[in-house]
Amino acid sequence: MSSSAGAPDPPGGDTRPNTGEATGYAPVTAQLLDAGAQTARRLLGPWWNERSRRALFGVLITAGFLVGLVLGLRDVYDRPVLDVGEPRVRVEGLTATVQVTVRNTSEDIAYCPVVGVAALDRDGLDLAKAPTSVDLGDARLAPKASANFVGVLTGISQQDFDEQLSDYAAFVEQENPCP
Amino acid sequence: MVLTPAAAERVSALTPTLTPRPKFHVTRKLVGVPKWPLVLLTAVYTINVSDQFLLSSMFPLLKREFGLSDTALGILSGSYLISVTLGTVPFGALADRYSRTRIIAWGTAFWGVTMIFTGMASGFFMLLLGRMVLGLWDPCDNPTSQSLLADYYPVNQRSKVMGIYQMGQLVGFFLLPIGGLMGQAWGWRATFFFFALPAFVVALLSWRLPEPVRGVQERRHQRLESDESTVIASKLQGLSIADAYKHILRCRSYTASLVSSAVGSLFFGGIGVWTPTFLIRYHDLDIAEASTAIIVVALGGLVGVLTAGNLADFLTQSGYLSARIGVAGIARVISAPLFMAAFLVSYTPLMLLLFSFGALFLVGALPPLNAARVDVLHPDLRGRGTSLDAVTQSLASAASPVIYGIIADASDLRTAYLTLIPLAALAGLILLTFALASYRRDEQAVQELVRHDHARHVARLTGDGQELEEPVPMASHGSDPGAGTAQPLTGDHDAAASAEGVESLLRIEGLDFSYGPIQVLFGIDMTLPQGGCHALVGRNGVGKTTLLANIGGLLHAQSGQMFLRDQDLIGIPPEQRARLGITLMAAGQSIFPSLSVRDNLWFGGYHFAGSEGLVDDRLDEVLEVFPALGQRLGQRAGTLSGGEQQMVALGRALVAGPDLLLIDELSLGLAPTVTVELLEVVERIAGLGTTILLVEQSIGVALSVADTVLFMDRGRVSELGPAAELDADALALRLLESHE
Repeated sequence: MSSSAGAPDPPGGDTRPNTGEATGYAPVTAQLLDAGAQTARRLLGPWWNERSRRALFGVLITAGFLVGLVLGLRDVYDRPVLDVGEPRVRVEGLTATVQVTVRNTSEDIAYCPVVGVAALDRDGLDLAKAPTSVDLGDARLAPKASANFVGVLTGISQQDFDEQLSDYAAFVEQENPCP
Repeated sequence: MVLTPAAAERVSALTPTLTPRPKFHVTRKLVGVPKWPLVLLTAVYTINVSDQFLLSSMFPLLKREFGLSDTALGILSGSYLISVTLGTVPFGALADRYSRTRIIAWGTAFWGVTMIFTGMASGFFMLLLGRMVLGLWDPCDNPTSQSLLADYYPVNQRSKVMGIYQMGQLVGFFLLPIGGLMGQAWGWRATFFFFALPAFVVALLSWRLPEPVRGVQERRHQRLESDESTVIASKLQGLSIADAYKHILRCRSYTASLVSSAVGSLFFGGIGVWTPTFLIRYHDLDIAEASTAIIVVALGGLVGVLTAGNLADFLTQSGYLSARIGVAGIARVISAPLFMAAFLVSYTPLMLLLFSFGALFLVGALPPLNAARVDVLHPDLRGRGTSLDAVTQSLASAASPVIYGIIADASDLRTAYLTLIPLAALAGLILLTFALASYRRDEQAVQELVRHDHARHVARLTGDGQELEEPVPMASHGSDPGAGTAQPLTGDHDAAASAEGVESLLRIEGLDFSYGPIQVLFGIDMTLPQGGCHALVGRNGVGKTTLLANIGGLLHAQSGQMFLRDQDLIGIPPEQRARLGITLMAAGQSIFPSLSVRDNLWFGGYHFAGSEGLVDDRLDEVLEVFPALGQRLGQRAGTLSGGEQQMVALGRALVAGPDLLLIDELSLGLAPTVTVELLEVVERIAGLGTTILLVEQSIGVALSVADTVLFMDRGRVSELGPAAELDADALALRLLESHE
């Protein structure tokens, strides 16, 4: 039986939880910890030993690694159906005009997306945000078709322009498959 | 064992006479110690730091996917920081009580699981839950790792070790842009999933880390013992949380370092937030340039942590015994005018150069200060002490940007810097006055406590109960709790033993052991009461010697449990089992043939290093028991007769004074008359209170000396009963039948 249930014992290490018995102390904390450990030990019975802990840890590590890897790879290959390009920006005074190309990668579905643009500060928060309209092309994105969307960002102060504005972003707010 | 002040001064942990004085090199390597625990713990630190700002670099993506407001994003950040603060103190307490390597292994594994959970979030509340839980796991490494490092590495290299460990934090910060790039390329979910993967790898490796005994480096440095695997209980282990923190805060140099950290953090906690703005406002850099400049000058910190750590150790070993506090304090003081100049000059390259040097000194103060903090904290309180410091720094760092903002709003940003920079100098001065004044005394107090615990431990081993506050009954010479009495050995022995008022000494449950694919021991269940001589009989090859080797720690069972009193023996190495009171006298080859008889006998007392008088006394006792050996002390043991060699082996066991003596085939190859002489000695040892488990093939020998007899067949043990009630012929017949 291990010396503790909350934290497993090491091989060959300092495994002994001190209950204060040997020193004459009667610490409430230690007693509570040990009471918890004993309760867990009682509930888990003979199953909670070094071997079962090692097995549980092995399962956790293996499963965690595999799940993380699979989900990560899936996300890498599972891209959004509407591909938003890099925003192109023209700044005049305190007004920024942001243009972005959106491409429908679907083979068979047409989309009528709602696209927005934003100016971001250094923390990734919005300094300004605006809706866009189609500049070139059709607002109805047929399969494999592209369109340019343009939005105008205003209301950014000179100080924010100088000190905070870090980046521009374009994003699909709603994909909206066309009827 | 308590040393006089003068002696204590001589053997203090940092006394240079105990260590060679090396030449100073900035990149001097660790010598004579394994590096991989340090590399691994540094990697854990890097991984834990790397996620701290990962979420904020994913804000734009999260915002678009979940339609989150800026307030919601702020709540995500804030909740994480609150969780980290809440988790730090409990992890500090756990680190002082339980296996630190396992805390890191489990903590890092759950950290990885939580990262995956966060990556799977379907909405704000899952994100929030993920961040809060992640914050609780995050502090699993820092207080725990610092406590571990103090026990892994020698006292005289502690500052350098802390410097290398500190690099983990800086490298973690430098990994942040990678997270941002991954997010843009693959999405925020994939970034969280991939960031989780290294956590599982380091968690697995952390599981494999050996758990050092707390305070072992202090003991080793004071040469209290030559072996480091003995667990010595201290009064401080069982303190309540409140009492533990009271004890910690009574240490003046620790408290001074705590105040210094808080004061310093009020200044440098806001540097990362406000310096890009300063560069934009006063040096006309754009945001990208300013951010890049900050990363470049922060590299100065890497140089600082390595240099200052080495320098502090070098000076300490050169005789400046308070150098760790001194270097940390001076570094902080020097950083202040450098920063002051940096924020006053208008020439940008000069500003960045001065800023780099300021960062070098500011960050360079951390390794020697962390080492000094560990020096003045008792090994059983280091987790809590380190966690308290981490919480203090976190709170001060969180307040710092706000203070900058308030001053900047009231005046301007440069004024804010010029107002707060003196806090760095103040932090240094606190170290150079209050901490420096009491550091040596506090450090020596810790050494004294460790020495005192060691003395109590030795007193317990020798049965000298006067020095104990609560004498622990030991089966050592002079006590006779159950000698010569026959106690039941298997089955409900605990119940039977307690019913008769006799404690069980050894308890084995379900022990399985295999040599590769060949299983030798099958679910051994066995309990030995304290005291008496117990024989284990059985034919060749049934697993008797294998069982003894498992008890002695030379072999490790695949499953099952084993306790010496309440001490779990599974995973305990043989040298530590010897310190716990188990001595194995192997069959045939139990002496060192090339060493003299005297040296062989001395080996029995190797774990009483520092108590040479005790070993001398025991040596005299052995020579009384075996007067023939007195004439041959200088003779090579290998040249003795077989019987005399067994006498040496038994004599060595007597010097060790074990609670449990495992004897394998005492009579092997000996003339009957010699065997009889040795059996008399075995009875005498048992009469002194040592419990003996004697493996024998000879029924006659077993029945003549043992109180009880166990029978072993095909890897299983069964009880036969008291030796006096057994019939030798029937037993011999059973032995023969077991051959078929």
